Amino acid sequence: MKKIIKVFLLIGTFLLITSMLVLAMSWSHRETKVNRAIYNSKVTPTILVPGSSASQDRFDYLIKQLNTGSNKHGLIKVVVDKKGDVSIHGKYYADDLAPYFVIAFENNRDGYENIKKQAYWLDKAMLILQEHYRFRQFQAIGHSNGGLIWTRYLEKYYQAQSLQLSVLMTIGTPYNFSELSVHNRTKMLDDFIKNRKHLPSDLTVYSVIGTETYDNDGIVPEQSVEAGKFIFQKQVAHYTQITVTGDDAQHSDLVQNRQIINMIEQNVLPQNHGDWHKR
Amino acid sequence: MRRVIKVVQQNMYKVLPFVIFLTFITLMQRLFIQPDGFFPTILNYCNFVSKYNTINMVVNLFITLGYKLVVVFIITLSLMSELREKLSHDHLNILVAISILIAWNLVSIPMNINWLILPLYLGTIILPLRKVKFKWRFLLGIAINSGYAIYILVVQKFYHFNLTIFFQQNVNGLIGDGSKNSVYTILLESVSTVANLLGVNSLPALNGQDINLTTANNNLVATLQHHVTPYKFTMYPISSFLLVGGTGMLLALFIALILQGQLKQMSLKLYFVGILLIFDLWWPLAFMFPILWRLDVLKRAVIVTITNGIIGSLLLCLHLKPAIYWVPTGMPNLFFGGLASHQLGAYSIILITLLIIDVIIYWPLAHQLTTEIKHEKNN
Repeated sequence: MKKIIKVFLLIGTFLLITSMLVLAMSWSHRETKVNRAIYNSKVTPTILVPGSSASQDRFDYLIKQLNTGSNKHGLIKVVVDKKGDVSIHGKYYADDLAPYFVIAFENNRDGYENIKKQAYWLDKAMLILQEHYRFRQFQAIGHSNGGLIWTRYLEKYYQAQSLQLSVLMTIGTPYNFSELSVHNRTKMLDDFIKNRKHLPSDLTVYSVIGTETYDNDGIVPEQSVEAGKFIFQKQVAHYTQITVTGDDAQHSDLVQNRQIINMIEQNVLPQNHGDWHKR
Repeated sequence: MRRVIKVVQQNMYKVLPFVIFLTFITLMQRLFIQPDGFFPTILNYCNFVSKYNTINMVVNLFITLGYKLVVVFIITLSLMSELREKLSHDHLNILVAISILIAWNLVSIPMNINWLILPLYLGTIILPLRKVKFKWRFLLGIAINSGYAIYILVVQKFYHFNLTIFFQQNVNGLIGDGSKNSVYTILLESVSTVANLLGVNSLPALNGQDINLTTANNNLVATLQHHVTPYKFTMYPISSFLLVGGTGMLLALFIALILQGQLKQMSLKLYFVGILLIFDLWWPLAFMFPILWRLDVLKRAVIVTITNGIIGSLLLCLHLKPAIYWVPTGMPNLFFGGLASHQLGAYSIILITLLIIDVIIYWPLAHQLTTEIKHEKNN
């Protein structure tokens, strides 16, 4: 009986180790191939996240304006549902070096707890996009709560070894929600300030404030957007606040504002990634 | 104290079947059930495992309780055998009962078990009791246990202080991001070997590849981008030569013991211990053979570590590809280097050679251990 057990143990161990070796070799080569493609990739997408109550179509006008002339790039829309499942739509061309990805959430409600969930889903979506489209460097734009989602993502989930964010632009982002004074800090702002050391130190951040009246864009108070300086200043490489007034300076219209579109073209989009598509 | 250590080792052998069983459960958990385990990672069912994490939690609980029971058994058996003639029957029973309670609370999760607690705790009870008169022994035993109880209640429960975690953080602080040259790496691994064989087993800072994650990542990124590997002599690459069967290349010691004459009479226990050693789970070996808390074992293990470290470093200087790529958790260290460098053939030859050298280094020690065991069996 003992002899049978010994033989069984030896054969079982041999089979287990052999199967582990074969599977591990295949896995390792596969992972290396994917990672090699990612780390040598020249693709630098611009990834946009809309605000609360906005859908994946929020940036259609903006991207249409950016995609004029000879400077056209593909647009991929990603929707993350409440279970965390990701669906991807749109056209992507293999030799497009600067596509646009829009990541929206089925649960696009306001509130700090929702922003935490959305940041978690953003992380999931980023990993899937990276594996699918094999990129490492990217630029980010967040409108309204989208900027909060990016901030939480950078502090909690972002890993500089596998991704490199060079520029973040937040547009009308209420870092202190609707508080008028920075002395009344919300829990979210407190957390952002507490975890600011996790922000990448080589990042360039642009924070755009819209003003329809003298102190808000119709929804978000100016002081709330300005509270971003307590998070980013002296932590990232460059932090610039810009105030935009005049036409399309209302909160929801900011993404159509001509000045903001020009700023995105000059400061956010990668240079020298012109027309990939010879028409 | 030697007497106490001997008693502990004898009683460790008595609980060996249970330890083998627990270690097998640990191995199965590591391979199949843990969310970052081998098969969940390779076969991509991590999400499924995370969803049913209750199973993993139940297995964890079972293993935790199991190892706590192991500690309690050893302490009970040791106290009963050593104090039987030193205390009255009732006093002995009371003291053992209190000791069980203390030991149960002193030991937490298996990852944080330091087997040094066994001779330390037993030494602090048995040795003083031997030195005092009969009428004071029971009270002294109670007093010593009261000291432990105060530590548990005040320090552990009230202040939530965990000595192991405090130790880990401070050692991590000293080591920082780990070593960047071969001398420091071999030194750290030698310290890890000594710590493990002295029973200080819960310091992940000293145990293998994890400490050097930043430099390991930098190596990986450089390789993926076809650049020169910046940190060849850090723990991740060097550990492929040092950790087969656990720190100190204990698989080589096991092979030496088998060859010393156990081959014809390999018991079933030896098979189990050997299989677990291949997967770098060395605790059953320490329970089967008296290898903990011995200077002769420490000396040989350090020599093996240094020898392998030097040979490995020389080979890396001679353009052997270092271990760079990630390998799933649970893969035996025997194959780690080959998989992590994508040079399984070369590393297989190197590791077989290193094992032969290590068996030769461990040979006199294995002979001594086998002689001691035969002598004890005859007695």
